[in-house]
Amino acid sequence: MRATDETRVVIIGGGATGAGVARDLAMRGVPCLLLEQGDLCAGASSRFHGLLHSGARYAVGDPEAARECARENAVLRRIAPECVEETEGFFVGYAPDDPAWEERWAPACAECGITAVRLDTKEALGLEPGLAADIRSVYRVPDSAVDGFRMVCHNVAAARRHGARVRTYTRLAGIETGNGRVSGVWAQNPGSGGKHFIACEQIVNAAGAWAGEVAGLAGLNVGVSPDRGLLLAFNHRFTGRVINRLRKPSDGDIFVPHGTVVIYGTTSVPVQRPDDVRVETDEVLRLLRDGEILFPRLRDYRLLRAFAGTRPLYAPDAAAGRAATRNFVILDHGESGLQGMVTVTGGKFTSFRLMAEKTADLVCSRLGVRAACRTADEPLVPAPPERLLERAGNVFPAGGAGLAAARLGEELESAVARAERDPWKKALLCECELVTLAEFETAAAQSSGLSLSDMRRRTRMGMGTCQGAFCALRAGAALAESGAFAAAAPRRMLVDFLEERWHGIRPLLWGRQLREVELERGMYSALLNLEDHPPEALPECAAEPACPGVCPGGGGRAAPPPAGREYDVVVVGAGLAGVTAALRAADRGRSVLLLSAGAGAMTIGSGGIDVLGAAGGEAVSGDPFVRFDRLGPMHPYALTGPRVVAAAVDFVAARAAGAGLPLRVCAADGGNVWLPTAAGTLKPVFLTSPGMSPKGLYEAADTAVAGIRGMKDFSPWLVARGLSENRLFAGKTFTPVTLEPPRHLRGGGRDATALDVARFVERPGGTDWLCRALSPLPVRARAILLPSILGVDDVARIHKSLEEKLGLPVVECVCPPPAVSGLRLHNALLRALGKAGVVAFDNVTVTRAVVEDRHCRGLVARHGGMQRIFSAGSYIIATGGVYGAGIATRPGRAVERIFNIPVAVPSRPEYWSGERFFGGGHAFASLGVAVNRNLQAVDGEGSALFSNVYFAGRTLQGYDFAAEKSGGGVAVATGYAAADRA
Amino acid sequence: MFHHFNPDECTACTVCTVHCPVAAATPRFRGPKMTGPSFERFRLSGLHDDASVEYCSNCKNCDISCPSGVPVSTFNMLARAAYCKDRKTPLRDLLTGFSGDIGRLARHVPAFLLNFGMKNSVSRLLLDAVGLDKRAPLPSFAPLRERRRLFRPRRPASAKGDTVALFPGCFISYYEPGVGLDIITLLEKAGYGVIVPKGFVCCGLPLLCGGLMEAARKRAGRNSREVARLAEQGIAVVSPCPSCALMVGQEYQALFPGETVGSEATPVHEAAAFVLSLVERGRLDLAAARPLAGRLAYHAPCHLRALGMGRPGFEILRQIPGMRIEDVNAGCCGLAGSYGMKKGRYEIGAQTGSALFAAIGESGADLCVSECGSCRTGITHGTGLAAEHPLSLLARAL
Repeated sequence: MRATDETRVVIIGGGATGAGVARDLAMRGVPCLLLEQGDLCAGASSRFHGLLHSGARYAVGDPEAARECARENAVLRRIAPECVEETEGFFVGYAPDDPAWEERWAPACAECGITAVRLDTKEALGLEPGLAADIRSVYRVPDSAVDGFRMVCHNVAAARRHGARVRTYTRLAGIETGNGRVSGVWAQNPGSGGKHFIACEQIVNAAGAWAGEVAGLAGLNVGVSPDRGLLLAFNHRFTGRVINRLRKPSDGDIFVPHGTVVIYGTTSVPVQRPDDVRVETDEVLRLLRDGEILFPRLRDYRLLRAFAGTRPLYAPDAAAGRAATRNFVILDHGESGLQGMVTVTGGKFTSFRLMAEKTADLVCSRLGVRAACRTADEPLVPAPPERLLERAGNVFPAGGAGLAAARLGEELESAVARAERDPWKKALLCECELVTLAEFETAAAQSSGLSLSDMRRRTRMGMGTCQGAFCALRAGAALAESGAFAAAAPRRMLVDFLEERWHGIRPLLWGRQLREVELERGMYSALLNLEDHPPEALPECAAEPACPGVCPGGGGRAAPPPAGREYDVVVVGAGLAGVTAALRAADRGRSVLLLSAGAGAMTIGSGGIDVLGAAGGEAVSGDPFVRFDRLGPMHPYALTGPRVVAAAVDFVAARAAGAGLPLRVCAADGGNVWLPTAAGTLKPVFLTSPGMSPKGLYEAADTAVAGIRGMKDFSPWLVARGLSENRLFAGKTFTPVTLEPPRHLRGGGRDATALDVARFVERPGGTDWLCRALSPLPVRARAILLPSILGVDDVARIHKSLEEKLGLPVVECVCPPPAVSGLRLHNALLRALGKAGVVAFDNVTVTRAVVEDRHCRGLVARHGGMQRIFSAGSYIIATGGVYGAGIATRPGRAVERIFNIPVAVPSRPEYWSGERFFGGGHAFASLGVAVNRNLQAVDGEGSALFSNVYFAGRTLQGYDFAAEKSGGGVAVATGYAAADRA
Repeated sequence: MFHHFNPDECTACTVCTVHCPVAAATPRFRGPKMTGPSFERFRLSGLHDDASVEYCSNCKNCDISCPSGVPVSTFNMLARAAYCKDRKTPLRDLLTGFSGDIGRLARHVPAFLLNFGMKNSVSRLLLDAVGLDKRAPLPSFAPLRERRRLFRPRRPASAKGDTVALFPGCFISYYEPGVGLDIITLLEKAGYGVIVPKGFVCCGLPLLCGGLMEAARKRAGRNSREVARLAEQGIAVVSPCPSCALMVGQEYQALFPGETVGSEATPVHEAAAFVLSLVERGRLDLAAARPLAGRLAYHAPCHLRALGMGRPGFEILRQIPGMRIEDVNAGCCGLAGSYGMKKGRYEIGAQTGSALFAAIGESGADLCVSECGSCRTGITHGTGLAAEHPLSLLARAL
């Protein structure tokens, strides 16, 4: 056996116990090596409540465990304050629960030395007003919240400091034994698949729920059974204290506030495999029902994700679930004939340090090491000096310094220095959890990880409100720019990260979480086209792109104000569909009132108009109108027909042109064209707005990709890398260039976005600044790619003048929200509405309709206790879908909001979505109102529900705007068609 | 009682930041999404120390543009109150916050004394030194006679339900009581008895904008009790100021849930919306109105838009036969109450208003119309054109 490595102790498992054993042994001077198959803390140590038990939960059933918890709770609060939030906890008695339990519980706590102080319920409700008013009793206990991942990371860092070695993403492939003794282990690198042998004297099996499998490699049976617990993370901290339900331990008893979120759980389901962390919607709903007893408004609080972990329950006698002990055991396999192997299992996070201590005691006695355990005495992380905290206060945002210090531990200095050296790295990469670019880069530099998910665990990026929608692109860009993780393709990394987030979101697809998903699909699928179905070849671009439409600038005007204040047409919704409908109705001489709530979703779009970019998972090259035959019979295009779509596209292009934004067909063949995006991908559109024509990009052999230092959401490195790896640009070069930002945007309170730069460029002298910044270019280039910064409302002129001054083609990329190019279209169409004489009221929320005999008599708007009825001859409803809130969803139900039209949905929640985030196949994506060819809502028999109401845009069923890249085309076609009928 | 707002409707989509006029004018403001719902999640865990929330003008374009119905500006106002709580309030915020009380104290002082005292060049320099920009427009006190006339005791109508109470608001009370009198004339023409109760005080919005939460809370309590007392007698409350109507009718409930009477706030009608409802019910006949000469540019105040009931003043005027009126629809005037008067904010306000002023110029109008007194002051300052309340025009036309 040729050993490539040796140590005294090999520890299997990078969870809390394994990391604790490593720290303990290393502090005693024992050489050790920790192996972890995935990332640190990927198992139950990060998949639990994050509750640092006071012990009160176990006081009745398991006094020994309770006492142990009480002691360890105090120890961890002392040695690891950066991992513990001292929230305190309540045990809350709920009237219908058995009072006998409470009668036993309170004295049991006293016996175990746990302070449980009874509070007046009124006082408790004052402190936690979210609790149910009908609670019977409340006790205050010293529960706390603990950050599992941080605890493991800091333990590992401390172990390393004392000489331990740690290898993540290394699988245990075999255990070598001889003469009844352990002689070493085989470790396997999952990337290369290569195995190597590590000689050792002792093995500590701390593999948690995987302990049985590890022991099996040595031919042993340890009787550990995995037990799955479901947990729900909520978006905001609706309780400031740990809340326990005072009853015999059961499902759904515990709420733990954690920084910005609350974690609630859990369940106990015996499973076959330790990696069985499935979550089903029914189980989530059951848990919510339990939770509503203590927090009656629980369903008003947004769920961020559902996740499950597998506890290692030690159950040699086949006790399972809640009957199995929560105590830990240390098995010396010497007793069953194999010297040098110890399994530590069972237990709970709160007692991990004690488990590690006892294990290390045993291992040391076998090794003849006499050093005593010091893990309870020494701080886990040396306290940062005051001066460093002051410096941190200057570079991290409000309150962010403390968060960063706790997350980074000893790396704080490095992150602070980074931000001081490069002030633009103070920018927030993750705005939901306040993670700066400096912190992210610091974590990336010291991580041996391979994925954005590893970075998420280290920094909390992507764990807040948007679940990675906004930070994923920035994180991918930061890695591309710093050269870290160079092996992985950035697009692949982004896709993997979003797919990983998808697992936790998928069981929660209703209401607000579904809206967030639709926003995310809008960004990554529709806007940035991360699926990246490439066309066979890029189309040729016309020298003079055609401007469709026959009457630029002209057109009809709405009728004068009607007598008696009744309009001909009321349009609800000011997205692309509603605005098109209003413009078209005005064009036909009707008097039009446009009502909107919110600013529509145009600023989340590209500002171009896509008609059909992908069908059947393939790119649509050339003329998109001839490919409609690939779409289903219920698709809105099938209802309107391709001629109406073409007429509508022409109409909107003409109206936008009349308002100063000429939209054009760039491809010489009159079909789709592919635009470069901020993700380094290509996105298909039909009509492009000024500045976006990709002709220069397609034809140049060398392109400079210019970004602006400190400007968010556009990394020239990411774009250059994505394009240069694209076979369609084989043989061409893309060179990233960084421009210094104008002084106006340096050192402000807000991180600059493309919108800020675009607004600057539009000011007097702004174009000159950009021109100076771009000439001379530091690299040889025949074209320049920019983020969308060429002004907001004057793009055509600025683009032309810049190209003339530089003597080079300039192409803007499609950027994520706040998308300047989308705002241009929004503004242009608003101007067009004014010209057309449409009366437009914003912030009017239509809540219901007055219907008599299948005829709509008026729409009722409500706001702040006031009500108003708007009436007209006919009505066009373009309120959007799930995202625009035209369609309301609940678990297993969907309904159109104004007319209360039930929307057909799949029978089981699991069928609402596909396994993977990207690639379509999501039923929720195409749910909407069923209509006939007149765009009137129909019942099951196909007859119209209302004679004078027409539906347009995403409110309609039968298409997936993101996967098909058809959102713009459907919006204008159905808006146009509805106006022709209204 | 501790009260928490739920930031869960926010999807972090950034639309509010795109439409925020302050963010458009200065990079120093983190933007409504960050200071509002994003930081709210941290404030709930005890962190609340972001100075940039002081930039918020409370114009509410964030609330108006939000596709998710998030009360972004409410988060920002609460955040500002938390930020200001342990800090000394600057004199300028005391002056603007308590401007209503100043007007009340000076209610027996002749206008020329007040206006000279406030607007002479020495005073402007002094005010400039304490933080009110010397370039900013200040409204002028109305003649003593008019101010007294507005508050002259009036008799309620004989029939119950046919009496309305006017909540004039500080601007109308002290600077433009004529608007209040015009509205009283209109309402009386429609058959109502109008009273101007003495029990109303400043709505508290200027205090809230200065972070003076507790002073605002006291006024909220007083006004709510008065509104409830009137509601018991079946008397509706009408305000010519959209901001007062918004504050008393909608915001109290959200900001001071303990101070409002009853489970839901009693509605306070914005005056033009109330008059429009009278037109719809046939109590006022617009067909009989005389057309006004000239072209009008209508500006919808942000707080009127925030009320969520359309643009009633515009709707009324455009129904008058022969009226030439255009809704210029070009965003915030920039003054935003007293925001644009403050030093360091004047430039932000001027830049914000420039789009509106340009649009008014392009419209070729010779008179501007807007419901909000502050907007009218800002528009006159920015365009040189006179600006009137739409109901003043209607009173003249009828």
